[in-house]
Amino acid sequence: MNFTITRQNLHSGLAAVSASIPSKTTLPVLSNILFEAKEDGVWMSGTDLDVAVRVKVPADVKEAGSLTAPGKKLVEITRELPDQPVEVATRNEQIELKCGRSHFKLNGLPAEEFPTLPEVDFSEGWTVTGKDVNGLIHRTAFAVSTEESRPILNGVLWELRDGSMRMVATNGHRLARMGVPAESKGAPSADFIVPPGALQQVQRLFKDDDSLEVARSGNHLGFRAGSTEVYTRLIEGTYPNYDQVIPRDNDKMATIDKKALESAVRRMAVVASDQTHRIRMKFEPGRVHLNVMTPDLGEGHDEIEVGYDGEELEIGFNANYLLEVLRYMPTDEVQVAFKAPERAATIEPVGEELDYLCLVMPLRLLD
Amino acid sequence: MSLHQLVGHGDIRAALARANMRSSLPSALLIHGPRGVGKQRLALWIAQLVMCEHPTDEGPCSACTACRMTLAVEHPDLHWYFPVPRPKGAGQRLVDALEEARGQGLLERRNTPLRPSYTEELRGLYLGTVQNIRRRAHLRPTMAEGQVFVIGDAELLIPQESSPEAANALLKLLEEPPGAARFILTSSESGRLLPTIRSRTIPLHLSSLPTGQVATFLQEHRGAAADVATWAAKLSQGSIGRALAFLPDGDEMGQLEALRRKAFSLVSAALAEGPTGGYTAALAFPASGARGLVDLFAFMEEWLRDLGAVAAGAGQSVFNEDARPKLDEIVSRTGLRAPDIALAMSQVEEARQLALGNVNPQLIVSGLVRRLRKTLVPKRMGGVRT
Repeated sequence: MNFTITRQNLHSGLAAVSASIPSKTTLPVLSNILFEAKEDGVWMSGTDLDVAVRVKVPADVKEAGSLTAPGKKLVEITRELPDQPVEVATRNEQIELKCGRSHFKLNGLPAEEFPTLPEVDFSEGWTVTGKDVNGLIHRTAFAVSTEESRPILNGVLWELRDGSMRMVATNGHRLARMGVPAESKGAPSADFIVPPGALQQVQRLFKDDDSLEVARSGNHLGFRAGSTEVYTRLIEGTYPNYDQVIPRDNDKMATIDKKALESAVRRMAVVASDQTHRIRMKFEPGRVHLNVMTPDLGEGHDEIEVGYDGEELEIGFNANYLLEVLRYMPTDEVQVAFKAPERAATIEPVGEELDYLCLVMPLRLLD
Repeated sequence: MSLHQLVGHGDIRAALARANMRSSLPSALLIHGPRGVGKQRLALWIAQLVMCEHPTDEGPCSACTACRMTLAVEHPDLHWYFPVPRPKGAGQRLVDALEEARGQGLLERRNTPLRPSYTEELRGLYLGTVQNIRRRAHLRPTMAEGQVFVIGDAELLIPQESSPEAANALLKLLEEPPGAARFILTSSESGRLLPTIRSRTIPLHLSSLPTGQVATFLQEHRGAAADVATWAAKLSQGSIGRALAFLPDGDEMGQLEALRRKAFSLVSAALAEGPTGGYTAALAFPASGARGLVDLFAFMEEWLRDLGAVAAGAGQSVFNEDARPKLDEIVSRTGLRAPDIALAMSQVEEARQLALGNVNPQLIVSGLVRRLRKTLVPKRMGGVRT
């Protein structure tokens, strides 16, 4: 393998791939980046076995070939190189870099030891915009469960249908669901459970104006835009029927200024119990009272004006879940809908035509 | 480096290969049998078999990419778990530290595939280990049709008495493996596994290897001299892993040989003149880490059994053949009786149970030597045995 590449291209390729390299691994070859020099450029690949990133960067390839070399070290070296063309060559199992008067030789491992990346046929899949996918990820992935007792909830459910797509994430206490229109290239409807780590890579590597091809191959899901590809292993199993828990008959609606509610909840959270983070919200026409009482600490009270004309109702929430949901609401005003103190409340944006809904389970009020 | 050759167990391998061709291999297997006979190596062979691209009735092809990666323990869908020393930390930090310790263990196994089946380190398979397994198991496989999880020394899923959390956490996975995942557990003390784990796995027993086969292996793969190889093979009772631990390591005697001698010195302390032998012997042990005594007590039982054999006139059947003259001398000097020795063996077993319960090792040893002494050396009054 022998090619010449600009320092800029080498560095951008390595930076894109190196984030997928695990810092500690049980397989030594995973610390390396796979270089494949072909006629049309140089492909660089990195994986932690859960997520794989592959990018192609332009280079003047004199001799095709492949080798894996230590990823982090290459990134560090390239960062410090002068802004001149870099000549990259392999000799046996070593990779050599020459740039100006700088010269490096790093020990590599044969390309055959690198895990085979999945082969995904992008001709049968879906086309989505980077903006849509990034928006879905941003507004739902935060709700993924981090507890390992129900591994299925450690992923984001991605429903792809003819003409639309939707992402859902929950930890059983709060849920986020968002949908957008999408174009299908004849691919049948499908549901995937995607690890949030993979979606982070998608967010990081694809820009809003990218046109993203998404396709599935067996156990993997592939994303491609231009010369950047991301592959992820999917989570095994069937996602719970989340639709069942979304209430349809919440008849009490309150329209609230998001910032005012956020700051009031944040103030109450200071005095809330460290274990339950419970705050109490009492809705009455035109006003909501926020109360918190923690036996060993003390109590707090706040109130804000809201658009509400229903009957009086008192409901408890985990302040942290409420704040999390509010943080991702895209509008200045939100609509909180509820029916009874023991029933789930939903929060939706007001003023924009968005298919976005968050659900927060209430906490029982003891007295 | 590549895994060392799998020795023996031809019939079992043939049956497994045929079952694989019929797609009737169970998803959860428990390979049990004596320590060091190749249980984990067979488990890895099964992993190779099910991931092989061209398997036959005789086993995996050993030439395809999947076989090569499995033999190098580098297949992304093969997850080999084994007991590790408990790292410091709690919560997610502990879970990560356990995975790091496993990575270190895998590196050592890749560099030195042929390893003795004995270590003095206190190790276990902890709840964090099973959490790691569970997280991986719910991801779909990378290259193969299904992931394979090999869990060696599975009895250490209960690292000490009354700590069954890790074993319990594994139950659900064994009962309903996600997707096409397979679990292969190995154990040399399957009786210590939870009954609920045993009932969720299909047992597969591995027997000891013929002593001649072990000796030949030691000569061919360790360059041991014929007499040393035969000596170690006999002491190992048909276990390559144990035989390796008897072989000298440079100028130092093998770890199991040192332990065997230590066990003999404890038996001798119980038979010695003067009542303080037990206390002196106990001081040579640390005040914690009683699990380390389990293997020592197994050797004590062997020594007592040999003394019993000599006392019963069946000296030709002793395990420790190299110590036969010494055994004859002890029996003739002390007048040991076989029934007393049988009682002494049950006392060693009781001490073994205490060691599993993590009692102070010094207390266990001093108490054991005192009880053995009482059993084996009855008080003499005026030359009359009471």
